[in-house]
Amino acid sequence: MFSLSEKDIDVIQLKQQVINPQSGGFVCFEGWVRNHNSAEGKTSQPVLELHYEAHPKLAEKVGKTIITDALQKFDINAACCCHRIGQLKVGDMAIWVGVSADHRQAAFQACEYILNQTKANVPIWKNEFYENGESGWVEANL
Amino acid sequence: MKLSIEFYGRLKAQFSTKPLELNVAEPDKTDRNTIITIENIYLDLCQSYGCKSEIKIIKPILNDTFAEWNDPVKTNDVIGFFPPASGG
Repeated sequence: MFSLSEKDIDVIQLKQQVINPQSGGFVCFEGWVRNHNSAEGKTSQPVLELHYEAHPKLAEKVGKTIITDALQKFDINAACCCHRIGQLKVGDMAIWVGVSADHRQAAFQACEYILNQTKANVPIWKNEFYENGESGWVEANL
Repeated sequence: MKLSIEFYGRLKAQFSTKPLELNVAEPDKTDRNTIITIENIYLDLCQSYGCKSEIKIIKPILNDTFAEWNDPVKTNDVIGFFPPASGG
Protein backbone atom coordinates (compact mmCIF):
# COMPACT_ATOMS: atom_id res chain seq x y z
CA MET A 1 0.00 0.00 0.00
CA PHE A 2 1.05 3.58 -0.63
CA SER A 3 -0.41 6.53 1.21
CA LEU A 4 0.03 10.24 1.84
CA SER A 5 -0.43 11.65 5.30
CA GLU A 6 -1.09 15.18 6.51
CA LYS A 7 -0.41 14.03 10.10
CA ASP A 8 2.57 12.38 11.82
CA ILE A 9 3.33 9.03 10.23
CA ASP A 10 1.91 6.21 12.35
CA VAL A 11 4.75 3.70 12.20
CA ILE A 12 3.04 1.11 14.40
CA GLN A 13 -0.03 1.02 12.18
CA LEU A 14 2.09 0.83 9.01
CA LYS A 15 4.25 -1.98 10.40
CA GLN A 16 1.11 -4.00 11.10
CA GLN A 17 0.41 -3.92 7.35
CA VAL A 18 3.65 -5.72 6.48
CA ILE A 19 4.03 -8.17 9.36
CA ASN A 20 3.04 -11.72 8.47
CA PRO A 21 3.92 -15.21 9.71
CA GLN A 22 5.70 -16.37 6.55
CA SER A 23 8.32 -13.61 6.78
CA GLY A 24 11.67 -14.15 8.41
CA GLY A 25 12.65 -10.50 8.33
CA PHE A 26 11.50 -6.92 8.07
CA VAL A 27 13.39 -3.90 6.73
CA CYS A 28 12.26 -0.32 7.07
CA PHE A 29 13.57 3.11 6.15
CA GLU A 30 12.62 6.35 7.85
CA GLY A 31 13.44 9.64 6.10
CA TRP A 32 13.66 12.63 8.46
CA VAL A 33 13.83 16.39 7.96
CA ARG A 34 17.47 17.49 8.31
CA ASN A 35 18.50 20.79 9.90
CA HIS A 36 20.50 21.70 6.78
CA ASN A 37 20.16 21.27 3.05
CA SER A 38 22.69 19.46 0.94
CA ALA A 39 22.37 20.78 -2.61
CA GLU A 40 25.40 19.68 -4.58
CA GLY A 41 27.79 22.53 -5.35
CA LYS A 42 25.98 24.96 -3.07
CA THR A 43 26.74 26.15 0.43
CA SER A 44 24.75 24.20 3.00
CA GLN A 45 22.08 26.35 4.64
CA PRO A 46 20.39 25.88 8.01
CA VAL A 47 16.85 24.58 7.42
CA LEU A 48 14.00 25.36 9.81
CA GLU A 49 11.17 23.46 8.15
CA LEU A 50 9.93 21.91 4.91
CA HIS A 51 6.70 22.00 3.03
CA TYR A 52 5.79 18.97 0.93
CA GLU A 53 3.24 19.52 -1.81
CA ALA A 54 1.71 16.67 -3.81
CA HIS A 55 -0.83 15.95 -6.49
CA PRO A 56 -2.70 13.51 -4.22
CA LYS A 57 -4.58 11.55 -6.86
CA LEU A 58 -1.59 10.90 -9.09
CA ALA A 59 0.82 10.51 -6.18
CA GLU A 60 -1.25 7.64 -4.78
CA LYS A 61 -1.65 6.11 -8.23
CA VAL A 62 2.09 6.21 -8.99
CA GLY A 63 2.94 5.08 -5.46
CA LYS A 64 0.67 2.04 -5.69
CA THR A 65 2.26 1.10 -9.02
CA ILE A 66 5.72 1.26 -7.38
CA ILE A 67 4.60 -1.08 -4.58
CA THR A 68 3.01 -3.48 -7.08
CA ASP A 69 6.20 -3.45 -9.18
CA ALA A 70 8.32 -4.16 -6.08
CA LEU A 71 6.12 -7.12 -5.13
CA GLN A 72 6.63 -8.57 -8.62
CA LYS A 73 10.32 -7.71 -8.95
CA PHE A 74 11.58 -8.96 -5.57
CA ASP A 75 10.95 -12.09 -3.52
CA ILE A 76 9.10 -10.24 -0.76
CA ASN A 77 5.83 -10.83 1.08
CA ALA A 78 4.50 -7.34 1.78
CA ALA A 79 5.50 -3.70 1.29
CA CYS A 80 4.18 -0.36 2.39
CA CYS A 81 5.16 3.29 1.93
CA CYS A 82 3.78 6.46 3.49
CA HIS A 83 4.88 10.02 2.60
CA ARG A 84 4.08 13.11 4.62
CA ILE A 85 2.65 16.22 2.99
CA GLY A 86 2.23 19.70 4.44
CA GLN A 87 4.51 21.55 6.84
CA LEU A 88 7.23 19.53 8.62
CA LYS A 89 9.79 20.62 11.20
CA VAL A 90 13.37 19.42 11.69
CA GLY A 91 13.28 15.85 12.98
CA ASP A 92 9.83 15.05 11.63
CA MET A 93 9.51 11.87 9.62
CA ALA A 94 8.91 12.60 5.93
CA ILE A 95 8.75 9.09 4.54
CA TRP A 96 8.47 5.54 5.84
CA VAL A 97 9.07 2.41 3.77
CA GLY A 98 8.62 -1.08 5.19
CA VAL A 99 9.14 -4.47 3.55
CA SER A 100 8.84 -8.01 4.86
CA ALA A 101 10.32 -11.08 3.19
CA ASP A 102 11.36 -14.66 3.83
CA HIS A 103 15.01 -13.55 3.67
CA ARG A 104 16.80 -10.26 4.31
CA GLN A 105 18.47 -9.62 0.95
CA ALA A 106 15.21 -9.22 -0.98
CA ALA A 107 13.78 -7.05 1.80
CA PHE A 108 16.78 -4.66 1.72
CA GLN A 109 16.72 -4.46 -2.07
CA ALA A 110 12.97 -3.89 -2.29
CA CYS A 111 13.06 -1.22 0.42
CA GLU A 112 15.73 0.75 -1.46
CA TYR A 113 13.88 0.27 -4.75
CA ILE A 114 10.62 1.64 -3.33
CA LEU A 115 12.42 4.59 -1.76
CA ASN A 116 14.32 5.50 -4.93
CA GLN A 117 11.29 5.10 -7.19
CA THR A 118 9.17 7.20 -4.84
CA LYS A 119 11.72 10.02 -4.74
CA ALA A 120 12.08 9.98 -8.53
CA ASN A 121 8.54 9.44 -9.74
CA VAL A 122 5.82 10.20 -7.22
CA PRO A 123 4.52 13.77 -7.81
CA ILE A 124 5.63 15.26 -4.51
CA TRP A 125 7.70 18.44 -4.27
CA LYS A 126 9.77 19.81 -1.39
CA ASN A 127 10.04 23.49 -0.49
CA GLU A 128 12.72 24.27 2.11
CA PHE A 129 12.44 27.20 4.52
CA TYR A 130 15.79 28.53 5.73
CA GLU A 131 16.98 30.23 8.88
CA ASN A 132 17.66 33.45 6.93
CA GLY A 133 13.96 33.75 6.04
CA GLU A 134 14.33 32.60 2.44
CA SER A 135 12.83 29.47 0.90
CA GLY A 136 13.55 27.34 -2.13
CA TRP A 137 12.08 24.43 -4.06
CA VAL A 138 14.45 21.49 -3.99
CA GLU A 139 15.53 19.51 -7.03
CA ALA A 140 15.35 15.73 -6.84
CA ASN A 141 18.22 14.21 -4.84
CA LEU A 142 18.39 10.70 -6.30
CA MET B 1 -12.63 28.00 -25.09
CA LYS B 2 -11.98 28.18 -21.36
CA LEU B 3 -9.01 26.32 -19.83
CA SER B 4 -7.71 26.09 -16.29
CA ILE B 5 -3.94 25.84 -15.82
CA GLU B 6 -2.25 24.54 -12.66
CA PHE B 7 1.42 24.65 -11.72
CA TYR B 8 3.18 22.48 -9.16
CA GLY B 9 6.40 22.69 -7.16
CA ARG B 10 8.94 25.21 -8.38
CA LEU B 11 6.78 26.05 -11.40
CA LYS B 12 4.50 27.97 -9.05
CA ALA B 13 7.32 30.43 -8.43
CA GLN B 14 8.04 30.71 -12.15
CA PHE B 15 4.46 30.98 -13.42
CA SER B 16 1.68 31.35 -10.89
CA THR B 17 0.92 30.13 -7.38
CA LYS B 18 -2.79 30.11 -8.18
CA PRO B 19 -4.52 28.32 -11.08
CA LEU B 20 -4.83 30.43 -14.22
CA GLU B 21 -7.99 30.74 -16.26
CA LEU B 22 -7.26 31.07 -19.97
CA ASN B 23 -9.59 31.91 -22.81
CA VAL B 24 -8.26 30.73 -26.16
CA ALA B 25 -9.85 30.63 -29.59
CA GLU B 26 -11.97 27.56 -30.35
CA PRO B 27 -10.32 25.35 -32.98
CA ASP B 28 -12.01 25.02 -36.35
CA LYS B 29 -13.22 21.38 -36.41
CA THR B 30 -12.77 21.24 -40.16
CA ASP B 31 -9.16 22.39 -40.04
CA ARG B 32 -6.64 20.15 -38.23
CA ASN B 33 -4.11 22.97 -38.26
CA THR B 34 -6.18 24.89 -35.71
CA ILE B 35 -6.11 22.12 -33.08
CA ILE B 36 -4.58 23.39 -29.85
CA THR B 37 -2.31 21.04 -27.92
CA ILE B 38 -0.92 21.11 -24.39
CA GLU B 39 2.43 22.01 -25.94
CA ASN B 40 0.90 25.07 -27.65
CA ILE B 41 -0.50 26.24 -24.33
CA TYR B 42 2.77 25.62 -22.47
CA LEU B 43 4.94 27.41 -25.04
CA ASP B 44 2.61 30.43 -25.02
CA LEU B 45 2.84 30.53 -21.21
CA CYS B 46 6.64 30.33 -21.35
CA GLN B 47 6.65 33.29 -23.72
CA SER B 48 4.20 35.29 -21.59
CA TYR B 49 6.13 34.67 -18.36
CA GLY B 50 9.62 34.87 -19.86
CA CYS B 51 10.44 31.29 -18.88
CA LYS B 52 12.69 28.85 -20.68
CA SER B 53 10.83 25.88 -22.19
CA GLU B 54 11.49 22.62 -20.31
CA ILE B 55 9.45 20.19 -22.37
CA LYS B 56 11.96 17.37 -21.83
CA ILE B 57 11.84 17.80 -18.04
CA ILE B 58 8.26 18.77 -17.24
CA LYS B 59 5.38 16.27 -17.32
CA PRO B 60 1.97 17.52 -18.44
CA ILE B 61 -1.29 16.28 -16.96
CA LEU B 62 -4.78 16.68 -18.36
CA ASN B 63 -7.81 16.45 -16.07
CA ASP B 64 -5.79 14.67 -13.35
CA THR B 65 -4.29 12.10 -15.73
CA PHE B 66 -0.78 11.94 -17.18
CA ALA B 67 -0.88 13.31 -20.72
CA GLU B 68 1.26 13.76 -23.82
CA TRP B 69 2.45 17.14 -25.05
CA ASN B 70 0.61 16.69 -28.36
CA ASP B 71 -2.74 15.87 -26.72
CA PRO B 72 -5.42 18.29 -27.93
CA VAL B 73 -7.27 20.39 -25.38
CA LYS B 74 -10.95 21.23 -25.25
CA THR B 75 -13.04 23.70 -23.33
CA ASN B 76 -13.14 23.29 -19.51
CA ASP B 77 -10.03 21.10 -19.51
CA VAL B 78 -7.70 21.39 -16.52
CA ILE B 79 -4.06 21.28 -17.58
CA GLY B 80 -1.27 20.80 -15.04
CA PHE B 81 2.49 20.93 -15.26
CA PHE B 82 4.75 18.80 -13.02
CA PRO B 83 8.44 19.60 -12.48
CA PRO B 84 10.66 16.63 -11.54
CA ALA B 85 9.56 15.07 -8.26
CA SER B 86 11.58 15.86 -5.14
CA GLY B 87 9.96 13.86 -2.38
CA GLY B 88 11.64 11.75 0.25
